[in-house]
Amino acid sequence: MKRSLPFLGFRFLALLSSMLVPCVVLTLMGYLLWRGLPVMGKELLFGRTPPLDAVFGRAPVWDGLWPACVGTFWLVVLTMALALFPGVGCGVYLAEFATPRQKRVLGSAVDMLAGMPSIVMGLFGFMLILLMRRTVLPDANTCLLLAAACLALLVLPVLAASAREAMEAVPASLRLAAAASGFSRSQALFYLLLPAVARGILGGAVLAVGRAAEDTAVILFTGVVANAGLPSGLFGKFEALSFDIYYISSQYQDQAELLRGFGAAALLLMVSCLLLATARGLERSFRRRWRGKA
Amino acid sequence: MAGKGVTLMEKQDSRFVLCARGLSVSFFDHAVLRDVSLNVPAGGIAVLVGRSGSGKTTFLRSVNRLNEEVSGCRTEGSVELRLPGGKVDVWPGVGPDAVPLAELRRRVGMVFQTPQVFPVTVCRNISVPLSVTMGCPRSELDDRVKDALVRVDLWREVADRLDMSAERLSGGQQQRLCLARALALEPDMLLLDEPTASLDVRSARHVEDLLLALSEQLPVIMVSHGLAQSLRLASFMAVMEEGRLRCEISNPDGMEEGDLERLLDGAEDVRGEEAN
Repeated sequence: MKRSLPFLGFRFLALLSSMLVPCVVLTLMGYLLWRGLPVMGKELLFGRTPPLDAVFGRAPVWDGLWPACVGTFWLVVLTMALALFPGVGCGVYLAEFATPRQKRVLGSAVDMLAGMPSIVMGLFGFMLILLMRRTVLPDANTCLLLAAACLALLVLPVLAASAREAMEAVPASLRLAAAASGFSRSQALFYLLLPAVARGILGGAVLAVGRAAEDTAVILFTGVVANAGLPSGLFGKFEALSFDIYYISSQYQDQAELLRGFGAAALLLMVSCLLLATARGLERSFRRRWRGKA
Repeated sequence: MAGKGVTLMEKQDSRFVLCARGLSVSFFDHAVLRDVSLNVPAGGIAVLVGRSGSGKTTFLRSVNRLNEEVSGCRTEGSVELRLPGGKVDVWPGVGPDAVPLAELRRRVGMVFQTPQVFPVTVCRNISVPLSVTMGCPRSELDDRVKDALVRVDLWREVADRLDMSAERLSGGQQQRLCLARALALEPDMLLLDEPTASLDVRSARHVEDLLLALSEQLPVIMVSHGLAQSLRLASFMAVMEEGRLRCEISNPDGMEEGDLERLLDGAEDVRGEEAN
């Protein structure tokens, strides 16, 4: 078959584009690891504090990233605890039960939320606290819970959209076969459809975790500080890796401090990879148990 | 095959297992079935034949009210079943003989044209419907899964692969698994929508033999495109055309493919006895 020049050109450009993404990812990760790995070590995490004392909170860590790691961990866990059920539930409702009118209205609301800049979400949290201080809670202050709640709003559309897409991709024949076996719609949803789309929902959850771990604009207004130490509770201030990276990169005074910033970035990258691997592992073990060996 | 199910009929004091009266089904005002009245005699396999789009599948899905799962469906008329468990008012589904939808669908098992295995393990394909729709105790599940697989002659092939994804089975095995799933729910009747259409000749014959054996135990209504297959299996045939019942053939023995072909092509009467 004779191939025309435009077709070959398009094919070449498509190939180039497909290679661009892995190249960018490898360059970014390679550069981060190249600069960050040499400083990676006990001192980067715990400074001059004995590691065990730091881990159990017996001594404060002033010049290490451990408090920021713990802060990021709790921030992500709280965010997902707040956002996972409403996000997935919204997506499932939109795909399975919503009337066309509800789909239009709710779908637009989800799209609008998805398009909202994170700095606006942070400002919203800050204004909320100001309002509460003037009205019902005079002692309210920015804190870990507020930051997680605002981040939950930020990642809600990601979860809703991924759950909706995954549910809508389920073939109608599976629903029909379930109904023919006597399953009610809720039973089919719980026992067959959700397990079938677990991978799609998990994909959204992984994106949401990544977003929650890396976002700085939201937490900037809602409770993160540079030297808070380990988070004292839901209503305490906290440190976060993403904020540390931002803070160091804008305030560093010498080369050693800059390298510490690269170390923090490499650490955040590793934490994200660890979360991703854990999620994939969980999904794989669930799939083998429920759906059988592929 | 004509004599099969006589005992059942004596118990039921009725010659028919299904009675449809003035059944019309439309989707978004597009009529698919128009005023169909059909009595399906008990015993053997009743086969619905007709060209594509003649309304066979829609009629079959009226029996377990599966059409209602498709949006825009509107049903008129009445459908009544006389099953071993008693009379069931399928549609309109009101009155003393009506049963809940989930129970109706459990009692009227269905197998589709393409094998619709659930995306779970071979074992769970049978055990999940059993525990969810019948509330079968966990301690009985293994035995009932095995029984169902033995009934469709699949146990030997999958006994050591029960934890494997059902989607990895061959097409014929998947269809027999679907049949096992339907049988595990202890149905009073089986509906089959071209169950061999997506299978190779050997697998199709295997399924056909199973269906003939099953038809001695419970009523079977089947849609088929294959004229030879219809003649091999049917003890009663209903020919459909453009959403209407064209004719019934109460004893297709002795008919040939050519006769059926001519009937489908619009011949008024091929044997001088079947016109509806």
